[in-house]
Amino acid sequence: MKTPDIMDGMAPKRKRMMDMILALSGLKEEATVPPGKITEEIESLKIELSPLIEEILNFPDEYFEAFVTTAEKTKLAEHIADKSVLESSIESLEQSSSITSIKGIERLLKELKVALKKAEEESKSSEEIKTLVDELLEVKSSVHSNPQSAQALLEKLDIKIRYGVPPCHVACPAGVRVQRFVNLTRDEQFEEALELMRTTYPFAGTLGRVCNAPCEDDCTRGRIDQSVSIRNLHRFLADNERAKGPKVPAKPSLDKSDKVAIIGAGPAGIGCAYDLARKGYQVTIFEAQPKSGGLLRYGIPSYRLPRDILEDEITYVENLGVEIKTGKRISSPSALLQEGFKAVFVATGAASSRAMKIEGEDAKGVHHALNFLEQVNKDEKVSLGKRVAVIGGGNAAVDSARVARRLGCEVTMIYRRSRNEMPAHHLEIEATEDEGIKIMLLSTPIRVLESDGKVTGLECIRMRLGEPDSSGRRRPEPIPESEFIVEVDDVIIAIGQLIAPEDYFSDLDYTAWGWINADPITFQTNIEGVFAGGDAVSGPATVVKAVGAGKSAATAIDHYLIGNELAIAMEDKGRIVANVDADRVQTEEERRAHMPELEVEQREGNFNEVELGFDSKTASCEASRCINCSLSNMTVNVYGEEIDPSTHEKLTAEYLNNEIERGALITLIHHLGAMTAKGLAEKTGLPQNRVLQHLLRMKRSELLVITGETHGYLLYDVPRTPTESETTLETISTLALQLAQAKTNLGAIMSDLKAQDIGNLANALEVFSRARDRLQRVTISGAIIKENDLIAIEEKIRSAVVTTTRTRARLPSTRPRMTIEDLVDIDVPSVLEEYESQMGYTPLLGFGTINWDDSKCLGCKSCEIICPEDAIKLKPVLDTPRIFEIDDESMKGLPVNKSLFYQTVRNLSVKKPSQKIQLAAEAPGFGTVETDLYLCIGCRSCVRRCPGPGDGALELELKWTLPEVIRQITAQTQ
Amino acid sequence: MAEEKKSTILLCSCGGQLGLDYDMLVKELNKSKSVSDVQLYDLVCQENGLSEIADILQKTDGPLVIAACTNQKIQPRIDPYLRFKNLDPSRVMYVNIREHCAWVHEDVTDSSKKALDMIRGGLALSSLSSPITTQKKTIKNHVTVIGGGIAGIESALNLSSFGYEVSLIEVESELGGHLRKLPVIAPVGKSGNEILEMKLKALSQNSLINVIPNTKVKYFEGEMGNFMIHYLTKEGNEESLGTSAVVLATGFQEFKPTMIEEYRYGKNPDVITQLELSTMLTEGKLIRPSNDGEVKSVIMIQCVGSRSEDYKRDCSKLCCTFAIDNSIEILKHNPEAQVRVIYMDIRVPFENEMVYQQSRDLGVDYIRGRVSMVWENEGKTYVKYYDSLLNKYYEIETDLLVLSSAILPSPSLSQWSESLGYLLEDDGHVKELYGKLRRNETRRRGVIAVGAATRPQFVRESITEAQAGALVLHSELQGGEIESIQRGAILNVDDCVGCSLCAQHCPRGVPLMIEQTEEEEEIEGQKILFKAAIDILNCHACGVCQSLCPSAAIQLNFLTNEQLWVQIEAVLEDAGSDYPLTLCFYCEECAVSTIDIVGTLRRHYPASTRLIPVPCAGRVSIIDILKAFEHGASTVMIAACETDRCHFGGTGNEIAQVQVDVAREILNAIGWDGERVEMFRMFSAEPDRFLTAVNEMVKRANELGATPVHLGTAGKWKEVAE
Repeated sequence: MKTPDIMDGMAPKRKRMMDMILALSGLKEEATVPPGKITEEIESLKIELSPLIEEILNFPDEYFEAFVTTAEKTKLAEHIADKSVLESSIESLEQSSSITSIKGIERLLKELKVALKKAEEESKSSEEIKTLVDELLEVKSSVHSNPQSAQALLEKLDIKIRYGVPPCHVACPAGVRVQRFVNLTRDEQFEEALELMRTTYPFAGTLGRVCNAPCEDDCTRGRIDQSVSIRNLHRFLADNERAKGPKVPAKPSLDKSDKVAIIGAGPAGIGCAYDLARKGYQVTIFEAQPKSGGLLRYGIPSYRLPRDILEDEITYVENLGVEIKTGKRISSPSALLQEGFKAVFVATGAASSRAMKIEGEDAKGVHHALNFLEQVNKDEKVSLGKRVAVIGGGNAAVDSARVARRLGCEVTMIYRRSRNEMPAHHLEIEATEDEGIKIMLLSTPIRVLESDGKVTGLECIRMRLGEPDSSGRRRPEPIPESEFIVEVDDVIIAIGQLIAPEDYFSDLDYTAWGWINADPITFQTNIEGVFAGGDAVSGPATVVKAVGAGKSAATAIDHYLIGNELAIAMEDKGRIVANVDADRVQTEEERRAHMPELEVEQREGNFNEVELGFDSKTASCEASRCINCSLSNMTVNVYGEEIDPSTHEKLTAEYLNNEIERGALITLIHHLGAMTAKGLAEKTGLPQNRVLQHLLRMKRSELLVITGETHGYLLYDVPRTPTESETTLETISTLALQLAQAKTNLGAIMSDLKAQDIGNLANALEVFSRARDRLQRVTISGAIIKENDLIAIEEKIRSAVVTTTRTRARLPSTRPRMTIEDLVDIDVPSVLEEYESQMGYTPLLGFGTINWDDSKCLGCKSCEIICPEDAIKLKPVLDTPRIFEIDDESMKGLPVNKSLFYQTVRNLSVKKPSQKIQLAAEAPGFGTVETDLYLCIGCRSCVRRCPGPGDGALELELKWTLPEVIRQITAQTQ
Repeated sequence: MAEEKKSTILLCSCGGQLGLDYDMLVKELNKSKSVSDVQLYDLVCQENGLSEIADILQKTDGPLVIAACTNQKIQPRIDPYLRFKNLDPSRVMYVNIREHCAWVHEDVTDSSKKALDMIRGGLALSSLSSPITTQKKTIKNHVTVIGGGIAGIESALNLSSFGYEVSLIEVESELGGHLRKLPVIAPVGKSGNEILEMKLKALSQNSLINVIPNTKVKYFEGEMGNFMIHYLTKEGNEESLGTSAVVLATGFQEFKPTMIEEYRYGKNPDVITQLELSTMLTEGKLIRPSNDGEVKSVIMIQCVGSRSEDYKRDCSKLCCTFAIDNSIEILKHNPEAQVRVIYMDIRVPFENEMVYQQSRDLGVDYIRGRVSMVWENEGKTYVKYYDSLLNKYYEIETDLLVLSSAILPSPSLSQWSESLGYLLEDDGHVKELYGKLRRNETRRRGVIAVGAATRPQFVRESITEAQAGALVLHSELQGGEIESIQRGAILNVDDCVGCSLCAQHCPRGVPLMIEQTEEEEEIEGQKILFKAAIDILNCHACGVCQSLCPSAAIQLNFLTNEQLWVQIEAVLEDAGSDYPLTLCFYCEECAVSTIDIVGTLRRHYPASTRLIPVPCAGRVSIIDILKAFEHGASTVMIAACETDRCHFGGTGNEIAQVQVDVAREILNAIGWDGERVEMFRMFSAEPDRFLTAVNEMVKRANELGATPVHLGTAGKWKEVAE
């Protein structure tokens, strides 16, 4: 029914009121339908639907039968890779068949179950996942008790962590705390850095020059671009201190009564003495040579290691209280024990060169490298001819060659393998070539040519590389008939080292290879109380290894003297080595700092130091390249202050926890595919919000995204896009369930259709309609199943839906109706209530005038806010004269602060104001109320809302009431 | 009122370097009846001093007034120390005799006199103080997310992961929002439905999440921990739902550019919006709507309604990417199609740039310029555009004209802001609490906004925001037990008259007006009586409510009206016509920093000034200003934060401005000089601004001379002829 025509041309406010009344009385809705009409409608609906219903009910059976046939043909089930799809589909289909049977569903179910079983057999069994999780938990618990197995597990699971010992530290045979001293250097805390190094050894200046730096080989930064220049940083620290004058250490109190003797003042001996002295032992070193230092002094040329550096560092050790007796050869370690030393450390080194054992080796002009270097280093005169050949590729060979070059010779190095196999440090080899030394590779001398007992040349043979030998290097094999002659005046042989004949002791056991037979872990020899280490035990190695051996021997000797069981005390517990994913570490592209060197032209004919050292800026810059791949430096905070050890422990423990937990989550996602936080929480046993926090963090660092990308997942809970088969199966099984329900409902409703069922009928048909639409998008191998049937049934379902909806629209609701006439005598209070419940505010009463009493107004704007018609406003106008006119009674009635305000104004006033004040802007708490009577509908909301004292500041003077209004409207209608 | 307890005073000499007349101070203060002991100490802030403070608090039961340096420095040392010792820090009052006194005045006598007055003020304040305690509250573990688009879904999933029960309310029958209509989403290249599908699956398997579709939210009641959401169901029934927090994830709506007549949208069926094109492409078809014909050429117009003085001023951020995505999608449907994009600037952030490059490689034509006219002729659509790079006009025929229309916030946001109490930006997006540090939070505690409710957002940004929002909410709700702050407003509900001024102006929307029960209605007849209710958990103790309350029903627990008034009276003890004083109320946000900096810099200003701290300038009511004059102040100033920079997330300083403005008008009207009161704004490090202000007010005090209070003419209005 249309609204009455009288609404046209009515004043807007009237029109609105009329509208309200009509809404209230239900007159705006459809007219009442008599019950007979309802039955009629239902009957005609039945008739219209009957030809359609049967086909609609049958359509799922036909469809699914065809679907299953195609699915079987195309082996749909076998293409489902996601097990959860199979599981959820089976669940839906089982539910569906429990509701009603649809043809084909059982067959499909069977197919899927077979596929699921197969998938379960193939996929990682839950047992394996459990093992995985258990293994991760084991890592956590075994980190301290059994670090080796923890490390092995981490590696097996490919979990990268920053927890653990930095690899540089692990690589250092002497155990220098590299990462920490590099960090201190970065922070320009040079003295602290050097002190830290001195807790390990006193040789910062020496090893800072001659060390082969295994730490740099393992430096994680090296996996990104180039390793941190750790060795040069050592050296810088030492140089930096030297520039300020020699440092005298605080002398430890040598409080242990036991005396220890050390034979040999080389790196191993001094390293051992240094640690023992700091432990409080009185140590005496016996050195056969006139000066201390061993091979550091007599083997390494001074252009690599200036002697004052070496001497200062040995002096430093002596200042600790270590006595070095030079020029004193010991003939028997056991004798020392009898002289009152409680322990002896034999560190005599390998001070003689190995012979070639070829014809002519005794000729004049054939030198053995160590002898040659010793002579030069003792400033003894060595006469060399113009052309010199150096045989060998190790450090002694390189040193000999460079020394010979400095003596003015033309030098050729002859090495039997290729450059890759040369044992000398690659930088040394480069320096050799820079200085103009020729390197002849894959060649070996087979005879020294002589004339009058004097060398004239070498007969050599070409070599080629065969299979790798036990050292891992490819074995050189001579090429038959490739002999050639090199004309030389002198030959220096540097193919290996042996213990010098004078250094053999009759009371010690030796191995078949000629080295002292000492336990590799406890350093004990066959004589109780006599220990041995360094090159004399291991064969020629590096300086840093010798120092490391000396240090370890010192620990062993200490245990021995205290009386600890050595085998237990020295047992290696292993440790976790930090292993970060270097690819993921953000660094600036910066190559390592260049070491300034003496120009090549300036090297000839002198033994000046070649490497010139870093300045402090370069050093701290270089140190800042360290990426801190391990947490070990966390004992120092960003300000360089020590962190309290318990805090540090907590921090690292937490870090380890986080890393392992995150590792576990990633590993699970790897193996099982995408999971929600909840699923991961169940699998790992971690709390769910912790899992989520990890996921968010990993997502921020993109770790997860990368894992996801590699394994086909975008985000942690957005798994890979399902395949066509998967989508198809999911859709089909959901629809099967929906259709089964709808089919049952529809059947039940249609068997006895009643008016109140019409809503359900429409809903059931809707389900069919939507399901059909979706089925038309379902494909197997790109083809739509039963496409023609789907199109044919579309029209029928649609027509059933439309017919039903139309009928529903024609059926009445249950609301009682009123006529306009009824309204005239309406019961006002009941209308008020109903209107309020419908519209949210108290209904209209009529038209009226609002009166405002300013002495009761609080300026709160409540009236303005509550007015449904925007008819009342608080204007920013202050009626100041009125403040002075409020009587005492009204003043008492006002809220306390309001009256205090008025009172204070009066107390301050010199004169009574005469005018109102117009404020520039709205001022909460102040103002004048104005009403727009054209808009007011007299609902009294404002009056009732006003919080002013007494009845409030507002009053409605009512002009017309509701019945009057209605009467007016009725009059116009007629 | 609490029983008056005597206070101890601890005077700090700051290592003997303040140079105040301590003998005089000790002597004068000892005269006060409310003082039990005055102690002089060299360095209160050091370990010995701290243990001295603890000692005093242990031995006495009264308040302790510490006159030392600024409480901004010293209080953060003392409070934790006392808490560690299990003592109540609220018993300590601070008076700044260093930065506000000794360091800023040349004359020792003057600055000592000022110090004495200010300590007297602190003493008066402390004499009425009472201890303050902390409260906890247990709430329901339930959050409601409004809006079932990607942000809403993600919010629900995340919140459920924290263990909250979640109701997800969606107005449409299906979840997914706009994502359903997007055929492809840069840079992942998946369709909206693909991304949605798995989210929806996770949702359906999540027992903690209850999805309520077909539901329109009407309004809200309550506060964090106890919100009530009223909504209309599909059937039109009004129902309600109790929840502890609300996530607004209402997404965006596309601007329908019917009013931009030159583009012919709504008149020519072949002119469609970008989102309409997305919908078409998602449905897998690309046709001319006018005749179902093939689409061979497409023109897209960027910035339709965005970056425009007439419609939406800022960039809508998403439209460029939408257009590019759709261009590529069109070329997938019809590789022969010609796509032209007419743009002002192409703005594609981050890796979306790659998609832009891809589109160029595929041959999408980008034309920098604007379209001036669209018309039809014989069923064909023509476009005239200006190419700004070639400086030429072109006319061209097209099958489809696509308008990249502005992205607007949901209109529901403004409807709900009234009952939910959050604020909106001018453009209708939800205003975040603090753009730099407190994103996603709204003015209202327990209400957060995520996704496009705050600004146009890409899908992954919406996801990130939803996750961030969940964390923010989790840290607020604490899984069910929330803690109140110590300082706050206390409501005496018996005194409340229900005017709602506090509720209207609280910067954080804390007071709520509750309609009273029917019994009370009976007594009051037809009156609708409201009473305020305070959720102290959300109170930030600014005092705006207190300064507006006409009935003194609501007061800060550490600064009641009486406390401030006795303090005003005490600091103005020396005031008179021979010693004109300027009283400065300063807020403990920006103003205190600036005034402290003046002190630290040892800049000088006249000692005829007395300073009183308030938590926020909004705490100062007109009565407080008038009281200052009543007690003899010559001029009164308020030092507060800059316009729009109220640190309480609202309008404390504007409320103060109203008090000053009205006070000036009234003073003028009653025979005073309105110039005697003034408001000054400053950022937190503007010493010159404060110095200018304070010198001006001291100058006025001297120039305007004796006040009517000094002259004895105040209150004599009846004797003056009109």
